[in-house]
Amino acid sequence: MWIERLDIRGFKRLSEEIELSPNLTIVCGVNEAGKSSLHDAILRTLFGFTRSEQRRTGGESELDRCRPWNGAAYALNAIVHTTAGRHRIEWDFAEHEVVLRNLDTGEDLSSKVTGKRGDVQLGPYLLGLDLEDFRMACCVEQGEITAVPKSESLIAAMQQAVEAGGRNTGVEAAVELLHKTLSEQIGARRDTLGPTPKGRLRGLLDQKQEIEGQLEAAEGEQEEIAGLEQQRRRVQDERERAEAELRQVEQGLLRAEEERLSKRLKEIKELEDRTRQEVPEGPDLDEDARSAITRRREELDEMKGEKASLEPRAEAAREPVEELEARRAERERERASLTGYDQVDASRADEVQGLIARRESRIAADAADAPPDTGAQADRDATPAYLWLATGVVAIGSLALALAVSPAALAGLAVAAALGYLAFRAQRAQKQAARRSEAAVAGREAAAKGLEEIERELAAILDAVGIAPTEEVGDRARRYLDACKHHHRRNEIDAELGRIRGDLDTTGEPITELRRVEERIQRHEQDLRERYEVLGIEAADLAAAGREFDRLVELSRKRSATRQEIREAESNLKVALSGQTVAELEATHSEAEAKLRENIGRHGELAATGSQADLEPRRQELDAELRERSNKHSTLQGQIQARERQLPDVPALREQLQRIEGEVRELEAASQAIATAREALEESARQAHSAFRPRLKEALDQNLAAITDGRYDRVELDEDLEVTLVAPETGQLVPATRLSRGTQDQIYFLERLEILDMLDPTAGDAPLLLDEPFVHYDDDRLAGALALLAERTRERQVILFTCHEPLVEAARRTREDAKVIMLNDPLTPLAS
Amino acid sequence: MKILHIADVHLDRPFARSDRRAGDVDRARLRDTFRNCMRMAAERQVDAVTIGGDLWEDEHVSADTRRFVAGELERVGRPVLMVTGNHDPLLDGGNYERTAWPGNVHLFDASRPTELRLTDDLSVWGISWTHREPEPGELERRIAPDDGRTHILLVHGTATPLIDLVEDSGHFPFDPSKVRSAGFSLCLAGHIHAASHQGEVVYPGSPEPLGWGEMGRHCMALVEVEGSECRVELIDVNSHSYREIVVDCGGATHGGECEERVEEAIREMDSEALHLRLLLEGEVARDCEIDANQIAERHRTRFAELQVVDNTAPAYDLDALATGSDAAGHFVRLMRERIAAQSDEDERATLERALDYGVRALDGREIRIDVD
Repeated sequence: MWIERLDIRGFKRLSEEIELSPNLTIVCGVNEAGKSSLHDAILRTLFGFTRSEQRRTGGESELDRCRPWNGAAYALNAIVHTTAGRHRIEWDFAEHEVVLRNLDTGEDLSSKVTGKRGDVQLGPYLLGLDLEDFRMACCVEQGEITAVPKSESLIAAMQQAVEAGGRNTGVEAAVELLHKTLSEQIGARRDTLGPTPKGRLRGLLDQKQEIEGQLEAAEGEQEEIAGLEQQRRRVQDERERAEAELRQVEQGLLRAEEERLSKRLKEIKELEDRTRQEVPEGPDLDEDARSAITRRREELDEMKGEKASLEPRAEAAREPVEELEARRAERERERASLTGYDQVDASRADEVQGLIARRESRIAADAADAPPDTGAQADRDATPAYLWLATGVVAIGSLALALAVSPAALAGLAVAAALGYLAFRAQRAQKQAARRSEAAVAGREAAAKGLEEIERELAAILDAVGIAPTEEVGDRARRYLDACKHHHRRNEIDAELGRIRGDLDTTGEPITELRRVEERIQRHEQDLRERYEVLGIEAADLAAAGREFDRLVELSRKRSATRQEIREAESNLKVALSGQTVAELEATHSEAEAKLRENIGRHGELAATGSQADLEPRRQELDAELRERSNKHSTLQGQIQARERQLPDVPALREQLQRIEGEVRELEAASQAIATAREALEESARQAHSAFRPRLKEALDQNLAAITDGRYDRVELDEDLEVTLVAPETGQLVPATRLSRGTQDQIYFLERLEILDMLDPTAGDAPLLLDEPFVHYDDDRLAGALALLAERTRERQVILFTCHEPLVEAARRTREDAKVIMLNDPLTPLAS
Repeated sequence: MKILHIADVHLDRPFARSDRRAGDVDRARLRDTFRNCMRMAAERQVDAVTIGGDLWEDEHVSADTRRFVAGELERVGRPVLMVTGNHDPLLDGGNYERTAWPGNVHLFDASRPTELRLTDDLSVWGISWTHREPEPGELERRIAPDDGRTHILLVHGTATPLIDLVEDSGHFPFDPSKVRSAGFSLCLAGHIHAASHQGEVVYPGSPEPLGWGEMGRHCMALVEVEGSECRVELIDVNSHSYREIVVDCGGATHGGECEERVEEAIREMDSEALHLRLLLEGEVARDCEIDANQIAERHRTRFAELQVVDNTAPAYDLDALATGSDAAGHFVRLMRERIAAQSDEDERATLERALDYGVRALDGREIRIDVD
C-alpha cells in the first residue's frame, strides 16, 4: 500500500495538500517546521485514534492535541493505493468518522472499517496491521536505531515472519482462515470437527435425520400396508372361494328346484293318471263276512297245524295207553273179586298180627323149653374137640415141618393158632348154652300164663272187628288177618287203578287232545262251509272254496284298493297342486329350467353339492360369509388406499436425502481436509520457525558489506539474536556493542530493515516512516545506508523526515526520483 | 407377429437434482415417455407388448403411479406381458399385488421360467424377480421344448459377456450364448439402460436416460417374429439426453474470462431437452474467481438442467513453493510426501484437497465450499 496524496484540512499546524512518491519521499524542515505533525497526520490517516486516545484524561485527549491550531476543520482526506485499487479516505476527526471508498469500483467500504462501538479498523483493513504493530514495524523515530530489543514477542514475531515467507498470511492467519471456513461455511467445531449447534452441518444433519425418520416411517407404513394387502388378498381369496361355492350352490339350488318341479310335475301327472284309473269288476265282499271267513280259515289252519303237531305224539302214546288200558282192565277184574272185603276193619290188623306173633312165640317158647336134643347138642359140642384135635395136629405138623422147612412150618403154626382160637370160642358157647337151659325152665311156667292172656286179648279184638267166633282164636285171628290182607289188596288195586288212570290221562293226553282238535276242525270246517255257501261259494271242496274265496277277496281288495288309490290320488293331487293348476306348474317348471340353463350358460356346469334342503342353508351361510368377506375386503381396501394416500412423496424425500447426504459428505470431506491442512500447516510452521535466525543472518550477510563499506561481510546471531561480526583483521568474532556508534547504527539499521521486512506482514507493502535515522552516520556509511534504503523503496513507500539538507541531497543522489518536501517555518511549502 | 418391448422405465425414481420441482418434472417425463411408448404400440399395430422389469421403483412408487400404469396398459388393448426386476420385485402384499391389473396384462409371477402361449406358434417365457433373485445359470439347461414353435424369453438380468457398461453384473447374470441352447429364438431383456441388440439378446435400454452416466441410446424394441426368425428394430424414444462437456479454462486470469469460454462452448447447444454438465478444467490465475453457481444460474433456462463443476485449480507454483524454507514450503513438501505415500483414493483426495486449502489459506484466499 502507498499513500498518493494527503489533503489536510486541519491537523495540528498543518492545513495543506501534500503529494507523496510511491517510492522515496523526503520531508525536510527545521525543527518545529511540522515534520512530526505530518508524521502524525500520516499515522492518523491510516489508523485514526484508538478509543483510549479519544478519551480525555487530565483535560485533553490525544485526539484533542492534534486539533488544528488555526481553527480549520479537523479533517483530512487521502488517496491511497492497495492491491484492491485506488481508495479515498475521508476523515472527520472531530466526529472521529471515516469514509472509505474504492475509487475503481465506487464501492463504499466504510462499513468494513467501522466497528460496532465506533472503532475504526482502517489500518487493519488496508495494511493488516494495527497502530502499535505499524509503529513497531514501520516507524523509526529519531535516535532509535539501536539494537533491536530481543524480546520473546519479537522472536515470536520474527518466527511468524519467517513462517509467512513474505506472504500476506502466516500460518496462524491461514489456520484462522481455515477455522473461519470451518465455522462459517461448514459449521463444524475446530477441535472435534463435530457440528456446531446452529451451523450448516448441524442443520443438514438435522434435516437428514428428519428425512430419514420420515422415510423410515414411510417404510414401516409400507410394510404395514403390505401386511394389509396380504390380508386383503386372503380375504379376496376367501371371498372368491365363497363366491365360487355360492355359484355352485345357486346352480345346485336351481337344479334342485328344477328337479323338484320336474318331479312334482311328474308326480302330479302320475296322480292324475291314478285318479283316472278303472275299478276292476267284481263283488265287494262284506268285510265282516270276509274277515270272519279269513279268521275261520286262519283258525282252521292253526288247528290243522296243531293237529299235525299232535299226531306224532298221539301215535307215540297209543301203545303205552293200550298197555295201561290192559293193566287197568286186569286190576279192575282183580278188584271185582275182592268186593267183599270192602267193609273190613283193618285197623287192628297189626295189633292182631303182633298178638299172634306173641302167641306163636309163646307157643314156640313153650316148645323150646322142652329138653334139648342131645345128639345135636353133642354135635355142636364136639366141634371144639375137633378143633382142639385139629389144632394139635396142625401144631405138631407144623412143628415138624418147621424143623424141615421153616416157611411151611410157620404157616402151619399160624393155622394151628387159628384153630386154637376157634376151639376156645366153642368151649365158651357151650358154657353159655348151659346157662340158658337153666333159665328156660323157669320161663316156661311164666309163659303159659302169658299165652292165655294173649289169646284173651286177641279174642277181644276179633270180636271188636266183627270176626265171628266160629273157630279157635288162632284161626279167627288168621281169618281176620286174611280179610285184612284182601282188604289191603283191594286198597292197593284202587291205588294202582288211580295211578293207571293218572298215567292214562297223562300218556293219553295227545290222543285226547288230537281227538278234541279233530272235533274242532270238523266244527270249523262245517262253519266255513256254511259261510262259503252264504257267499255263494260251492263249499263241498273246502280247498277249492278257499281258492275261490281268495280270488273273490283279492278282487274285492283290488277294487277297494283302486278306489282308495283314486281317492288318495285325488287328495294328493289336490295337496300337490296347492291351489295351482297343472298348466301353471308347468310354466313354473319351464321358468326354473330356463334359469338353470342360463346359469349353466354363464358359469358352466358346476358340480352339484347336495339336496335343496342341504343347499339352501348353505346358500344362506355363504351369503352371510360373502357379505362379511366383502365388508372386510372393502374395509381393508379402504384402509390400504387411505394409508397409501397418507404416504409421503418418497422419491422427493429420497432426492432431498441424497442431496443432503451429498452436502454432508462434501462438508465432512472439506472438514477433514481442513483438519488435515491445519495439522500440516502447524507442523510446517514449527519447522519454519526454527529457520528464522538463519534467514536473518543470511539477510545481514547479504547487505552488511554494502552499508559498512565492505569492512564487514559476515555476522553471527546467537540464540538471543545478539549480533557479532567477524573482524576482517583478525577473523575473530566481535560483539556489535564493541564497535563504533556509527557502525552499530549501520548494523542495527540493517537489522531493523531486515527485521521490518520479516515482521511486516505486508512484505514491504506498508509505508516506512523514518524520522532522522542517520544522525550518527558518517558520509560513507550514510551513502551505504541510503543505497540500502533506496533499494527498499523499490518495494515500499519510504517517507524520510530530516532537518539536514545534506541528507536530502545525499538521498537524491541515491534515488533521483525521490520526492522532496521542504517544510518552512511557518509552514511554507514546498519546493520539490 | 409384432411385439413391442420396453424395460427399465423406473417410474417414480428419485433423481439427484438440486431442487425438488426438478425431480417432479423428471418423474413426469418418465410417465410421458412410457405413455408415448404405449401409444406407439397401438400406432404400430403390435400384437403384444413386453416389459422387461424395473417398470417402477418399488420403494418409491405411489399408488397414483400404479393406477396410471394399469390405466395405460389397459388402454393398449392388446396382451401385455411383464416380468419384474430387481427394482420392482414381486413381493407379498407389495405394489404389484396392490395394483388392479386389467385383464390384458399377464404378470409372470415366478422366479423360474414359466410359459405363456401367446399364439399357436409362439410362446413367451418369463422369469421374474420375486422375494428372491432368479437363479444364475437358469439358462444352462433346456427350458423351451423343441416343439417346432417359436419361444421367446423375457428376463431382467445381465448378459454378462456382452455388456461391459455396468460394473454390477451381479443381477441375474446369464450367458447370452445359452439363449438359443435353452430353446429360445430371442431374449427380450431389461436391466441395462443403454439400448443394444447383440446376438439373441435385446436390451431396449431405459426409455429415458436416468442420470449422467447414461449417455447411450434409449429405445423401445420392435420385434417381428416370422416362424423362428426374429427381426429387431431399436427405435429411440427418449425425449431428453445427458451430456458432459469439458471447458478448458486454463490460463484464465479472471472469472469473466472463464464465463466467456463457457459461453463459447455452449453457444450452439440450446436445448430444453438437454441435461448438460460443464466441467471447468485447467489452471487459472491465483486470484481468478470462478463462481460456478452463478455461471449455471445465468444459462440454466436454456437447458433442462445445467451443472457447472469447477475443477479448475489456481495456478500456484507448488514446485516453487516447495523449495521455500517458510511454512508454505514445508507445508507443500509435507503434503506432497503424504499424498505420494497414500494409496487409498479417498484419503489421497482428502490430502490433495487439504493441500489446496492450505495453500489458499496461506495465500490469504477465502476457501469456498461448494456443495450445491
